[in-house]
Amino acid sequence: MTDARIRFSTEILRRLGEELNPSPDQSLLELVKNAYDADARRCRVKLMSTDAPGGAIRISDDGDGMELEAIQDGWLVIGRSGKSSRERTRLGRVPAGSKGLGRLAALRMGTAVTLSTRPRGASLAQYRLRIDWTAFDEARVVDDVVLPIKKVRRTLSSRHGTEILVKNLRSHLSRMDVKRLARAMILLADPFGDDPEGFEPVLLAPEFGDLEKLVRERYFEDADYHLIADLGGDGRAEARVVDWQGAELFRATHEDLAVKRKGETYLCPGASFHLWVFRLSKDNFEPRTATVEEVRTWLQSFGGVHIYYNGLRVAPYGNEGNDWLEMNLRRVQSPEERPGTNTSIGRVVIADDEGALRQKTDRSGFIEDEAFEELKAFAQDALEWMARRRLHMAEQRRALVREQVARRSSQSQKKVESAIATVPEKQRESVQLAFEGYKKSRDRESEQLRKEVQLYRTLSTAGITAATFAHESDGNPIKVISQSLNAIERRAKKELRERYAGLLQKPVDNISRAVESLAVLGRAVLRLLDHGKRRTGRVDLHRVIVTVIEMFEPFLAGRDVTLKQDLCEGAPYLRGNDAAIESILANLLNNSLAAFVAGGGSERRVRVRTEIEGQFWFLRVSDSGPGFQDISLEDIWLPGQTTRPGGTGLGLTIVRDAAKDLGGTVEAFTSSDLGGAEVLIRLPILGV
Amino acid sequence: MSLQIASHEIRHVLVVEDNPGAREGYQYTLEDMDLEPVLEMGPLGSLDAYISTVAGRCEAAICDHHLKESGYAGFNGAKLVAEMNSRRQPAVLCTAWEEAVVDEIRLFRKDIPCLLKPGEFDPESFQRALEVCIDEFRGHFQPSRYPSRTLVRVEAVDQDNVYVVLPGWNPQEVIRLTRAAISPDVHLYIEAGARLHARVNIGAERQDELYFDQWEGK
Repeated sequence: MTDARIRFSTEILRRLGEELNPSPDQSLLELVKNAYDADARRCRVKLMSTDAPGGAIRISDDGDGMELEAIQDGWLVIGRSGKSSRERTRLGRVPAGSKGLGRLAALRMGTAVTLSTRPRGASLAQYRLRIDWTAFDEARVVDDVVLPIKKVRRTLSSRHGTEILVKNLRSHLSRMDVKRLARAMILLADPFGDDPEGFEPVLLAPEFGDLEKLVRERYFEDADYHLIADLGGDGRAEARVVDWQGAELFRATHEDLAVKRKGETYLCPGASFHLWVFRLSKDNFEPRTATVEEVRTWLQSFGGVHIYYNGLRVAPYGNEGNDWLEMNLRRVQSPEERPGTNTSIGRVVIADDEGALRQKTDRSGFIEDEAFEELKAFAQDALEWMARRRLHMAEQRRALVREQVARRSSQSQKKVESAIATVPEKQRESVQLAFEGYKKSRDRESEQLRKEVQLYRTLSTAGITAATFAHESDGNPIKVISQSLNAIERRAKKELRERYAGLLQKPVDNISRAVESLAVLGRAVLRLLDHGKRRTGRVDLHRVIVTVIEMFEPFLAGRDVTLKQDLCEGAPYLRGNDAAIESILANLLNNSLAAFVAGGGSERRVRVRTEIEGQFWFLRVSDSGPGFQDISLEDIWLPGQTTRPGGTGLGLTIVRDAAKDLGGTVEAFTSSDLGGAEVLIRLPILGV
Repeated sequence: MSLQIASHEIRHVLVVEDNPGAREGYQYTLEDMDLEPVLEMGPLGSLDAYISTVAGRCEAAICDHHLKESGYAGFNGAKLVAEMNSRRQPAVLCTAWEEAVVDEIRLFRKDIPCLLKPGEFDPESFQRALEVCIDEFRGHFQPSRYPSRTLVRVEAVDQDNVYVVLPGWNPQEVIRLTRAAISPDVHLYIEAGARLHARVNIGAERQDELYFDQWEGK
């Protein structure tokens, strides 16, 4: 019998190290984590001429160093999972548990590396090891290269610790690499915590100093809200929110937090979640020592929610651009009273002796398994709860303001009445009458405003419902209908051949057109909700007009309506938002479409015409419908006024309000040269 | 039967879609192409866990984007499609382009060579989409997908968004990018008036097709 062994080609070293740890900062960070595992308090990383290839990096620490066996069976062994050694270190730290792949990548950054380590204890030994990677390049298999470890006697004064020197770097470190490394090292051992005995990694580079200064600034006391949520080992959570003075504002039990999961426990290790939320407005910061700009810069550098796992930070959570709790998305969906990654800073501290959470081999975070998803759910539930409480508080505030306004108004009225009582009797009656008149017109104005508020509430509800419907219909029913219809068409054509045209072509085309109309409606609603369209800026009027017409085209075709687009020369623009112009034209087109149902000639025609006169742009929408009937031209603009059964009577009100907001005017005509109604919008423009 | 595109022989096509009716819709089309649909009934759990189950069961995939809302999967389709394409498994995303979706998809657009709207999905368009994916694996880009280093001028910034203009694409059009769509490496430089560089497919016809990669600051 002959024994054989699997052996590894030296090529595997390069692949393992480089492909699993693509960035130099992450690789070097693994060496810093090794120092943490060795119970070091300090770890220094010195970069020497690294702005060009050929430079060197020295990583030194004051940790426990290594005995010969630890070098042979630990440091030089690559790929052994850290999970097998979850035992805590002398200082009670849970080892960061690297498999040695990151270390390999870091050590291979140069063509050679030397290790010098002085173990803690009575012996005065010092071990030295040199790895020359070119020897591996020349060898066939990894085992062929022998690495001699030298034992030398160290001086009495030299303390325990380890020093690694990576020499003759294969490539340079860019400024960005250094910046990333500096940030990762600063954040590694929770600089926001209060552990003076903690681990302090230092990078000897100017980038580090600036950032470190910034991290030490600690603006936590300027936070408007501080969320503290704790998750116990039994999966039950509790939370509270305190203000800047530490006074409790809200408190939640597990049941309050876990509403969505009906009180079920979280199946993940215990954790503690702190989030500091800032209201970054100048008014809010006026009475404080820190300025809003300082806090904003600080949050830009360190904001987001970081994860500290067994004492060390796990990237990329909390990195710029990483929003693992989807805070920004939720803020966009419902902006009131919600923090985003640029307005808050936080940390989730996890103590996990059991190794329930597992980090990915390439060190790009945790494997997103059930335990991690549960941890995320805990943090998100805490955020949701805080948002609910803050919304509730805002609602109370609004109710209070309403009440105060009403009270003040009645107090003012009494004051005026008592003042009138002091007026000489001769004039009193006329003053009294004038005041009564004023009160009546003010009441009428209030009533009108109340009606408008109610109207816009109705509109918002209609909008929200329409958007929900549009999302749902575009995503599901329309997709199912169109795909099934396509299948019917394909299969029927194949089976029926020439008989298809006579039997099925027409009904299939009808359904197809109907589906397209439905999709257009849905998309029209969703497009109106586009974020950017509500942003104030330059609005190219003709571009918006053309987009709206294109959006309506299939729908107009479905109703057999011909639209003539008659836009004047030039590209007029104004300052406003796309949504306003869209509202104007979309509502006018809707009106024309509705008018055709009521009657008019056999030909359904709409014309959209624009003109420029001086500093004004005119939009004229005419149709061949029956014109405005049974309603005066003055009343058509009033909310809720409609002659159409089932109509909302809101469309023209919105047209008027949108035009007014842009400094323009509206005018309506009972008939146009097309035979039906005509509406003229006049808006001031900035240029052409 | 199978579909042969370059060195890829495609027989089994994974259908990742949370709506049972739409899933069947994809099934009909794939059957009409003589391909074997592999319907995923869900729930699919997390992407990390799921992706490892995909290889070996299919040679291509068609995927809806909204998968999280219904609890069908712990990830959205764009992420899965990008991950599969980066592993050289052709995958096509099929979704309507709403603004919120554009933002999310842009983060992964580099690895999504082809995106279809639900109404566009038929045998010809799907085959074409797979060809586009496989062409990109081989380094052959469509003119609308070819990335070029180009100037990105920051016009304005607000809390969540950065508004940029690409003079090399359309000097008149402002593009809204979420901060997440920009590499964290250059966040430090983002301010109104800043000039950055990135690799962008400036041959794209529409804004929602643009993807940004390899950002460079000052």
